[in-house]
Amino acid sequence: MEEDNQQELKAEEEASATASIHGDVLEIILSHVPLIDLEHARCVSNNWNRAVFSSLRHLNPIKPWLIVHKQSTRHPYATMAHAYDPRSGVWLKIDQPPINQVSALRSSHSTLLYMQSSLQFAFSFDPLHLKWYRTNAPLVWRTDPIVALVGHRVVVAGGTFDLGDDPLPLEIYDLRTGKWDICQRIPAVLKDSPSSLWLSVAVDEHKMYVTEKSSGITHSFDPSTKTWYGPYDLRPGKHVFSSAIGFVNDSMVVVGLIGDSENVKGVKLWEVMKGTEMVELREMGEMPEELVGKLKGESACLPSIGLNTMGQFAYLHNPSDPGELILCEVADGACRWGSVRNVVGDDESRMQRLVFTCSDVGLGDLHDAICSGNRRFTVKDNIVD
Amino acid sequence: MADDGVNTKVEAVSKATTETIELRTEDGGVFDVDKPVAMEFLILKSFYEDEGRVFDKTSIRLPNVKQLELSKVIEYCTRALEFGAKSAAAAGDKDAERMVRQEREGFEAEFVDELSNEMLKELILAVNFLDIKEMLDFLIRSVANRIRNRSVAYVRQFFDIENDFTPQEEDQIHQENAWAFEGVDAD
Repeated sequence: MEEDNQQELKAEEEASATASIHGDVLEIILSHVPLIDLEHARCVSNNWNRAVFSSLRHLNPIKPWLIVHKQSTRHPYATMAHAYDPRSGVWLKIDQPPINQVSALRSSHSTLLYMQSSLQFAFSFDPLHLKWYRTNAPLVWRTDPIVALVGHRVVVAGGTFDLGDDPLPLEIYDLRTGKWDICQRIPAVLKDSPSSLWLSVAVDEHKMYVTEKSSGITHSFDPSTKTWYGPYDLRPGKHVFSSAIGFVNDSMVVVGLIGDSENVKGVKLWEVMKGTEMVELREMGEMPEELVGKLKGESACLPSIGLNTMGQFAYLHNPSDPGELILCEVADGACRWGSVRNVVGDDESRMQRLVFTCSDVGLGDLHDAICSGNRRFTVKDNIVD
Repeated sequence: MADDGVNTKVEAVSKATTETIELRTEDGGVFDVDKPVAMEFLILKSFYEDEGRVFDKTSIRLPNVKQLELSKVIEYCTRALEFGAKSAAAAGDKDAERMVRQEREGFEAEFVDELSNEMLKELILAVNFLDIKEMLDFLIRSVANRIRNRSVAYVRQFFDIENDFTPQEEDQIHQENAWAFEGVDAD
């Protein structure tokens, strides 16, 4: 015990002859490695495969990516994509072959990307947009319609048409049959509306939800029964001048801008409580003032809010000045706010359009993307906010 | 030394408490370590504090640590304590804080640059054993950086790992466990 001057600390239980990094230490190391590199780490050995799995489950789980697509407004409309991975706080540049261009790239919710021309309608919804579906254009040509993917159906509704006063029919494309179907009824408020300007769209398993940004009036549509529901009033209050809807943790949320577009006083998040007839909103959180400032950007003008939601994340941006992306992670009923500089510069903004999608990218998706041979991911270093 | 007040203060403190602990490594190295530095090793801290041992001039043998690693650990921990003191002294002065931060980043970059891959691994194991949280975090981030954007072959070579997958297994690992990352519970 204390007899001599020498004491010895207990040797490590697993003291082994070779210095090998494994177990807890390996998992902690892997928690600092970006997802794209974990794809390689899985292939190292059985032990590492298990360590990657364990690290992702217990230490640093996968989080949804925000993908910013930049498209040139001139033929051949080349696109470039950058993705932000909040798990590691890194931006990735995604090298991909030019999408066989149909026309302007758009997205109205989650991972859906689509393009339409008078002849063709193309869309993609897997997390990394490896697969594009192409079909004949819907019967009626319209500019800037609502396009939403509900289950296995794509709904095309509203939009504007320069000639004629007849209301534009709603059309549904069924992925399983490869056919278009028509539904004539559409709520009056949605006729003649260019969707990207005035409407916010969200989707769950069964329905599409469409909210008029300025009034908060919301309708929902079930494409399997071709039934419209609503209107519902989702405006959180008179002080909210513009709102957007999305789904976070499988609950519908409303993001509201308070004040007016030249002088936004605040941004808040409400949860739509599942109820019976009455729609109830519960305030969940408020964006910190500093981040509201970043959101406004240089012009300090915020006419509406760009919202992308997936899993427990909400990404917000200023559509007229998307220099900063605001993140909101909702966990255990609380909102955790953060921001990151949008690495896709606005330098030639006149000649480019930016489209935002949000994806639940998993290791399987990364594997497929890399194996396809036409995706390369490069982590961009030194992006400082 | 014609240094700023903080530097001399730190030195004076460590001179005043000339308490040192003798640490012996498994390959025969003997180090006299200042008590504040040694107490950064949580394994030592708990050895003394939790067990209520009297701090006397005894020699402690560290079975899992070699001299080269221990000297590096002592170097890092000594500087870390200095930076901590400088940071505290600079609190409130944004420019001074930034200078300390940059100085620290410079030191850390140089420290890790000089480490071979083998040394980095050995250090991680030693620091993990000695339970030095700050240094472990620093080393882990450094090694994560070194394997970023690297091929599977490089990672295997770096960590000295043998590929124990059969060709069929290699094909399969991407199919299996795919569900595990969709948020579904395993068991």
